[in-house]
Order: sequence, then C-alpha cells, then structure tokens
Amino acid sequence: MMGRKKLSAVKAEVAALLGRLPGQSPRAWLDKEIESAKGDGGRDAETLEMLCAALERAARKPKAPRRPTKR
Amino acid sequence: MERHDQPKSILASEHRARLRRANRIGRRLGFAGRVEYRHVYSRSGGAQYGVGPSADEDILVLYAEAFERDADPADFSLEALIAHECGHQRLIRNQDLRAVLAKFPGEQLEEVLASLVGSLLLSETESAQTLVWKATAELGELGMTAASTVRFIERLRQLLRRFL
Repeated sequence: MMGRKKLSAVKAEVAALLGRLPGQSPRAWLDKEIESAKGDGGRDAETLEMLCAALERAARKPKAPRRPTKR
Repeated sequence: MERHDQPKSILASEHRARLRRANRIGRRLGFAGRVEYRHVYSRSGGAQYGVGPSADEDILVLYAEAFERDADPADFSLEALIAHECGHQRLIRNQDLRAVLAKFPGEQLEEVLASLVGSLLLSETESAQTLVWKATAELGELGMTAASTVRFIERLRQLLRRFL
C-alpha cells in the first residue's frame, strides 16, 4: 500500500536525510557519486540524479495544480 | 487540499472516466488483472493491490482519495500511486523479482521494493522520481546512515532494473 504520507512530507524527509550526507554539502557528495556511477556499468547514476532533484525541489515553491495526463 | 470525512458525490460519467483513466494507466504499466474504481475513502492511501489465484485474477483498486491526491501538486500523482501497486504485482508475479523480495523480508522492505519497481515501470520521470524519494525516505527510517541509504537505494534500483 502506498500509505497516506503526502509527497511534500516525503520530500522533506529525503531532503533532511540527504542533508546528513558526509562532506561540506550533500550536492557535492551526490555529484561525486554521480560521476563515479557514470563510469561504472554496475551502478545507477539516474537514481542519484533523482535524489539530487529532491534537494532542488525541497527549496522550491509548490507547483500549480496537476492536470490529468491523457495517453 | 481540503479533505473531507466522505468523498463528494460524482456523476456516473465521472465514475466511468476515473475507471477508464485508472485502467489505461494500469495497462500501460503492465498490470495484469482487473482494475476497479470505488468511490469511497480507503483510509490507506488511495490504491490497493489484491493477489488472486493467478495474475489475471489479481485486482487493482483505486479509491476516491487517489484522485484527490492526484489533483494536489503537493502529493503523489495517480501514475505514481498505480505504479507502486503494479510494483507489488511484479514482486509477486515475476520469479526473479520474487527471489529478490525473498532476500529482503518484511513489510517495510517490500514497500521500498514496490516503490523502486514502480519507479522503473514509469517512463514519466516526475512520478518515477517521487517513488524513488518515497523508497529512500522509508529506507532512511530503518536507521542506516544517509550515505548507506543512498548507496543501497541506488544498488537496489540497479538490481531490480535487470529483471524488468
């Protein structure tokens, strides 16, 4: 089950978790990991980039209401 | 978004439109089985996967709050909610993924895996990354360091990717 926690709360938790990464800034730590992952077929840079996005989004204002996608 | 004790009434046409949309997303994400829409509050997040005797007899049920959450920019999209439940189905019905699930017992880890599988099923990056965030937040609750949590999520997702 997906649970009832809102995305905004999840995002805040992830940003707080990433804030505890070692080094001077979480972004620098993630960037280093992404660079390392890009040269290693056994790793997944995309996942790390998604976590970077959490850091960036946490600092942004909320977006406008979402429109349903029709595919 | 304002939440109520009970969902507001909707027209039969809206009910059908919600079912059609849920069905379309479920099929696109590879859900095998029946998709239902129930215009009630589930009090469990808005979507539920039910295991049947076979994949074709599985059920994906969407509830009223799934559509309320989808309309709220601060909450998960319908695609993300459905993808998470499709992730559960893959973990049960895909033999390789079931083997992975067996190595990570417990309800909490199953939720993490379902979100990561769901994120891989989604081609739409925005919803996919929200599921990666959800998995990361839930894994972070288990008490690992931040660096270990990030590395574990990255490797788990890479592992799961191989079986989809």
